[in-house]
Amino acid sequence: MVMVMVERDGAGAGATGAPMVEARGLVKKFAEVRALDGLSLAIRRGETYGLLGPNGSGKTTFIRMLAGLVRPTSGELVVMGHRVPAEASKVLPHLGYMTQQQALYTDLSVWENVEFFARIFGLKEKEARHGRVREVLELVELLDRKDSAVGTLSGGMKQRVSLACALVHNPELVLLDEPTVGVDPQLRQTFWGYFRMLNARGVTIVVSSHVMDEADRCDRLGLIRNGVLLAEGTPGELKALGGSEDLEDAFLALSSREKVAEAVR
Amino acid sequence: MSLARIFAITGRVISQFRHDHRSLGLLFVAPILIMSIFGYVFRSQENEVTRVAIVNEDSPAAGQESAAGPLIDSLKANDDLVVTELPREAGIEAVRDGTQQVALIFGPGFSERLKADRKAVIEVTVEGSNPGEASGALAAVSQAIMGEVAVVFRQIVPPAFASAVPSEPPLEIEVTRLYGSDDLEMLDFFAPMFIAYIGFFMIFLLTSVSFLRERTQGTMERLSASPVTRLELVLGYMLGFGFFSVLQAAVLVLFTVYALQVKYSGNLASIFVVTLALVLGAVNLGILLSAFARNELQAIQFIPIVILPQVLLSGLLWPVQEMPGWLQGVARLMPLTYAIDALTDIMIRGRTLASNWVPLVVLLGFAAVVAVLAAGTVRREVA
Repeated sequence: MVMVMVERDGAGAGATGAPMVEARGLVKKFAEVRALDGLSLAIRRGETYGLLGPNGSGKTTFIRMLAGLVRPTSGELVVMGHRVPAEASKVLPHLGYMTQQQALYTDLSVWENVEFFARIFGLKEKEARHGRVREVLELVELLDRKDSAVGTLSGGMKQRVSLACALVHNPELVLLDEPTVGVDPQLRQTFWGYFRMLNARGVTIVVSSHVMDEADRCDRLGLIRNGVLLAEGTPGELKALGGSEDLEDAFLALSSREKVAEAVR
Repeated sequence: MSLARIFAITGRVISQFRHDHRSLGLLFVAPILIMSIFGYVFRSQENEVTRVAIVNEDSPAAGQESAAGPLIDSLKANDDLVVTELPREAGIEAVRDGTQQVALIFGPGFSERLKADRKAVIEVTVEGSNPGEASGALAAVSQAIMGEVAVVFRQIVPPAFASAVPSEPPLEIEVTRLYGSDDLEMLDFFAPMFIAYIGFFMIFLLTSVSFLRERTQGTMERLSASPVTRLELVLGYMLGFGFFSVLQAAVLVLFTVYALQVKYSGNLASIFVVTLALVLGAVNLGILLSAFARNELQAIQFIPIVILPQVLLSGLLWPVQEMPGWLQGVARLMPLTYAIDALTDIMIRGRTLASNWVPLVVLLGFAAVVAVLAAGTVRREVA
């Protein structure tokens, strides 16, 4: 794993061409709260982009906005060359979204859950669909449990089913909202293995996290606090910027620097 | 609009229920249980004999035959009555302490008045603290009297006995039915209503809770980030639950007809069509109202609001036509009123679906309007 990371450090291998996501000055007001306060960033095709920030910093709002679920109060968001949410219907068929909640039908079996999402995403032809369901279940190593009711699975297995559901339609862009919350270190390792595999196939991944050792594995990171982008770059660049070998320390340093700057203003 | 996606949702709803045995029980076993209880209650009331005290004070003029005598003899022979002859005071006392349910008093001059074609009065006394029991007993007695009268005094015109029949409305209904020769039982009368209620209630309950779960377990969020449109989602649900409701209606109707032996005329298929039109509305209403509930308890709290007024006003307890004007207006807003109209017409009067097109159109219209409203609450945009 470490070897792979070293290799991939810097810009992702497939990160070329027009950006997958372009956000310009995104603002979202919920009543009194400004969840996003002028967020601008660009995510390249084929890279793994980590959204890093404390709870309530606006990560989930931004991810939901990418999925067309939240309308920006102002600002512009372009995903796969389409304006979102106005043209979300052109983006959604190519989007995989793994929510913070597992979001599965617990009465249904593993297979039925994944197949349902396959059908929803338009895999009409039965044989192709079944082949694809088999493929993702193999990827998340759950083929042997395909007939178990999801309600009877362990938390980590549910998380893997949830990922399979988000991947079954071969999305170009995968949104993962804190995919490894409540997941033990070993499974987290496994998950990152899956993400790497997707990455290698040219899938763009946007992953939110507040776990620093995860952030270290992303191609690039955006540090978000109070709905604005504090800093952006590869993990190495951010460490340099924050003046620390430890990403967590670097993050804290960058945050407090911003606080000082705010105070001066 | 994609049929494939609608069917994907329909299929999923169906497989979820296949795994959910409790809900299947609620759909199929509970209604049978309820119908059996109703069947038992109504049937056993029907078969119960009424205890009658008869007081004969008739004093025919010398050389004349008593008119009360043959009538009393035939009442004694009636299978539905257990007759005891008593003096006046003892008879009324027996009703008061419950050993007798009804006292019939043929007063002095009964024969004479009959002969003179004047009103011959049979004084009827019931205990009356339980209105249901009283009207049941009165009904049984008046039915017996009128039946025997018809046999014993064929030549006497019925109006002569009008005052022998207590003037309470339910009795008048019984009397009318006696002459109508078709002895419709209570259960036959209520069966169409129960089919409608049970279908509406169960399907409404199950849809609102399952759709609520869709929201709370996060799958709604996931579906919102998919190509599924809101209307597709609502239609998919509608078909899925529609499928179960037709099965439920089939089980319920067949059980009612074959196991409970409820008499029905009209076409079985017509009964299914009306039931289906009704429950499609119930599915959509369940989806609509689930938007206003944050958990299962709150969803269940809608039941008194949605179901009880319909039970009270749609014609089960009082005929809609006999309600005060403004309440009739309220009743006319409720889908169950129309379903019961149509089902009663088909099952009891034996009319066709075509002659019930108005209630059917109203039911389908209700389903369509609520489907659109429900789709409006399934918001792709959360904010």
